[in-house]
Amino acid sequence: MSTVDDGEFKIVFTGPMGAGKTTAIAAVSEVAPVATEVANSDLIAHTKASTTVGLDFGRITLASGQIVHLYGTPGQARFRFMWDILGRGAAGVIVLLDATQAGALVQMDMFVDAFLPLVPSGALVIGLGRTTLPGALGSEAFAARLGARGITAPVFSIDARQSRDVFLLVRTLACILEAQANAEAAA
Amino acid sequence: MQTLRICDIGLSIDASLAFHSMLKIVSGRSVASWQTSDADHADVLLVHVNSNPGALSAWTSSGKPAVLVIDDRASWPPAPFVLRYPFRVMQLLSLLDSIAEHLRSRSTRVPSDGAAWAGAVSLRHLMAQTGDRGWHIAHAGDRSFLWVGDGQAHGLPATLRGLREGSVTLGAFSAATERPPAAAQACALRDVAWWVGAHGPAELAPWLRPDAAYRVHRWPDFGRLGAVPHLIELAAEASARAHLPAELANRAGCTPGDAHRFLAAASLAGLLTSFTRAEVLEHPKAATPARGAWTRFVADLRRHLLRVA
Repeated sequence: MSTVDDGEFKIVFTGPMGAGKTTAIAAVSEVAPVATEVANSDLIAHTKASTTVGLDFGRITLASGQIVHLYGTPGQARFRFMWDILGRGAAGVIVLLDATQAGALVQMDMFVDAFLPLVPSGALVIGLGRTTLPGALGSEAFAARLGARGITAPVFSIDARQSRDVFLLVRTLACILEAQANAEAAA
Repeated sequence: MQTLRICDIGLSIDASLAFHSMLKIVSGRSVASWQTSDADHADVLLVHVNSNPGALSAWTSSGKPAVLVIDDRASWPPAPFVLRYPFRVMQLLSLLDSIAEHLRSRSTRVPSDGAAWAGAVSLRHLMAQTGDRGWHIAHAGDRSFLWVGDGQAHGLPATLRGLREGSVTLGAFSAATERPPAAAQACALRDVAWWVGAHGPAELAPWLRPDAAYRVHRWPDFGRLGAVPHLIELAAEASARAHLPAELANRAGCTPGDAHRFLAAASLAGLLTSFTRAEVLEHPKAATPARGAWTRFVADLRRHLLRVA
């Protein structure tokens, strides 16, 4: 697990292409995020003009001077080798999904399966975008899917463009980590 | 003076003798008159934490209080009444007085704020019914109404906004003869249930128990429902493991009223699982929050995000 002592505390934002990972990191990072975007060559998967092929990077500095690193992964499965590099040792993972996408539930399964083994704490938060649009699945469907797999994780309807909503996800992740630490200390 | 009967089970011979001796010492000093009895006639059970789980389980299901005797402070169980052996007279006296007070308050516990709970209790019963329930209506504030039918809640936008913000109080439901007006909007019944609980009275909901432990099996969608900061802490603690209501408030660093409202909301919205004290004792935990660099760092991060959000 990333630790305070080794100077590495990272939170990973992941999810399929077009879910809002780059936007979410930009919404909460205190510095202009480093992005590795190129023209989107997979217009079937998503019609957006550009997409991340390497990583997004942002930062939050606490009053103590300690730093939280925010990493965004590429969304396309062909860059999966980057998922392992970025996810390994993360303090927690935030999966962003588009609730209007066909197969969003399967996408959630894929990203949860890919990242949870890399995150020792198992701290997971799901951010669900575009839930108010026609045809969108509600958060209950995603929570029930996780529950059927024995995973109790928050699933929040959010707008990744709103920093308030992205802070809600990060803050919830911090609360989960704190509660886990309390429970482990009590065990 | 109230007369109470207590039975000890599973204690070592030394502990049992010490208990009976001290019971004579506290005689006349306690707020109640304490007598020993067998288990069938006892009001209170004094039982060693590691003995006779079957008897303890049967006892707790009866709703009567049990005092758990432990030998090691490090394994302090999350139970309301715990006594460490070797006993101290004043500790025993204090504990017995607490139990006497608990029993007295429970016997006089009535829905003291029955009107304040009317909407929540009524909604809970309505949600528990299956099949075609027809349409029901309740006051939501002085001049507005909330309808429940077709598995959803229906109300004017201002009414739903008032329920979300806690500015209107829901009354008891009754069968409706009229459908909601065309201007009414539909809203998930679970969302309304959450808001009613989250803005309800500060006391523990009448259908919840102070000596039961609760855990959320599914998080509320705070993105949709709206979240004030302490609700996230409470949900995180309550999803990590089961807590007694008082313990949950302590863990999350909030007031008992906040914890009670959270539990009421989660319960009404169908997100809560309850455990008996015996079930919790299968995984006894200490009650001291963790300290260390990791926890401090995460707490710093949480506070930082609270400030900048």
